[in-house]
Amino acid sequence: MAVASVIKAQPLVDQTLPINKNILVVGGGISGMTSALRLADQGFQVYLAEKSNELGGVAKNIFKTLEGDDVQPFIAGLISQVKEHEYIQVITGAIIVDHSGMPGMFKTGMQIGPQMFYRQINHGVTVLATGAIPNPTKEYALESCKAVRTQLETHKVIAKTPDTVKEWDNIVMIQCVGSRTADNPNCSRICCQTAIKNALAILEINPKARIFVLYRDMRTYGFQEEYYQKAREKGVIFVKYSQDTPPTVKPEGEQVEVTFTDAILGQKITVTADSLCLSTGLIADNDSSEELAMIFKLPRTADGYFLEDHVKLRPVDLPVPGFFVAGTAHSPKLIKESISQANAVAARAQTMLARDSINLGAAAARVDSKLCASCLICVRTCPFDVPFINADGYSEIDPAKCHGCGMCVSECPAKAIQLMQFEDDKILAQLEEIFEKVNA
Amino acid sequence: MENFEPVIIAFCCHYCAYTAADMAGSQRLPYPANVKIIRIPCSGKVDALHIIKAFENGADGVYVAGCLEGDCHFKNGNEKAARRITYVRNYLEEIGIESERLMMVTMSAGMGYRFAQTATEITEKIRKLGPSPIKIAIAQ
Repeated sequence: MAVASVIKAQPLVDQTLPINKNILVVGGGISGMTSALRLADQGFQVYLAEKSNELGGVAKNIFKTLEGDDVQPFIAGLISQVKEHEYIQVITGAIIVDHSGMPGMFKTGMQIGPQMFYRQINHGVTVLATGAIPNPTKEYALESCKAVRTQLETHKVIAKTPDTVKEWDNIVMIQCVGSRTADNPNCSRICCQTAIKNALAILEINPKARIFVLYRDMRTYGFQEEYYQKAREKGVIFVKYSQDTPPTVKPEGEQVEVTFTDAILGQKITVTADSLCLSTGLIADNDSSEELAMIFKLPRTADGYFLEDHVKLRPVDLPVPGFFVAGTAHSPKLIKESISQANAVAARAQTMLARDSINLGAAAARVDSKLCASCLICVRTCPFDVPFINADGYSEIDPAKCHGCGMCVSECPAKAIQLMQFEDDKILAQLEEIFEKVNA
Repeated sequence: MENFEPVIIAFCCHYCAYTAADMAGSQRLPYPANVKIIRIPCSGKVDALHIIKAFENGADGVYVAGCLEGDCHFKNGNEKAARRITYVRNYLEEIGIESERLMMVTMSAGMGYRFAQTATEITEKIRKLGPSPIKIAIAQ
């Protein structure tokens, strides 16, 4: 098939356009700020648009990593570097409202602040680092009982009020809450290590505490496995539960009774817990990512995360040239993984920004003036109003403006237009070849 | 026509269905080998001529897979394609080919599962319909 179409291939001329070297970073979390800093350090003008009124994102709620690094000083450093950088302009309270232009020269409009001032930014590269949000699930009496917290809330208690932790005798953690279910089949990836991190931190403060982790599958990937082993050595009890028989939770005053089936004993066990920590994980921020996907014309996964152009070959590129994705906007990730991806984005973006023009490939429509009857169908069909009838009385399509969809080609009654790279004879040659094999 | 294996041509839009097919592959989802994919930049690029030529050559079924409504990379190519499919279906009926053999489906780039499912469903549907009248004529 492919060979049959190659036989009909014609020499093509790539279309190039000058590139605007400004960068728009959408999202002011760790990923967005890291990308912005790397690119600004190379001397490119960066506009960092953040929806909320302050930088930092979800990571503002994280104090320590599994490895024991302090997160808050790191973020504070990042924020001050970004704010002070001569090439970074931070725009907080910004909501992206429109987007136009073509690869290399985009125009994105946003409304800023409570007054909704409209501002348009010209840029050639866009970095999406819009992040994800903690899953707002209400399972296991999360809202009604004070002893039930998410892992993120537990983490805050551990960091801010360690005295509370000293009063906990029994702690139960339930994994995969609101994820890996029929409603949300996505694995949040980070919750296993978060549970281990919090369990170890609790034992650090209160060595007598008994911690039960109820899990479906424990996935402390890579070197995190060491911390899992450490948790086991320190006496954290891991109990597997199946999706069909989830633990049951009953609030009892200040405490909660958690009942689960121990697979080894084959019996139901009830623990009266002083604290129940739910690993609710992250989900895509559907409200904002759906809107952005519509505005920027970008694909998303079934879970609502932005979909990269190719899992292995173009892992940080989005299908539209000049668009990149970093951090949890792409999938749930740890801080260090988000930073790696943000650095990858900065590197990929520089391969474009180092040149003065952007190559758009050769897929553009070409009119054969001998066949054109100037019937105006292409003029009416084109979604971008590119074709026009020129001084000679024929339709003309500017290859630099053509987006290469081929709609005019299929509508043209005289078959006077061909879309380069997807010429009719190439498609027909593929068809012929398929049936040559089948009918033989 | 014993052991009838339908041949189905799928015109897949580069921005959605073609990527979904890729996704189905990377998720290791099986779908029938009866479906032959031809990549096009937009479902609106599929010419009535391409569809008719496919049937003329002996295709038992043809489907055009475009983006979800409102999600077209080129604004409205999928809507234009859907209109054209309706038109060509009437034309097929006129020349004696069941219009069910031509379909328009929509999916997003992330829907690998949907792609595999659609390919399987359409293959089964065409298998039930049997070989196309043109294929029978070619065989005779």
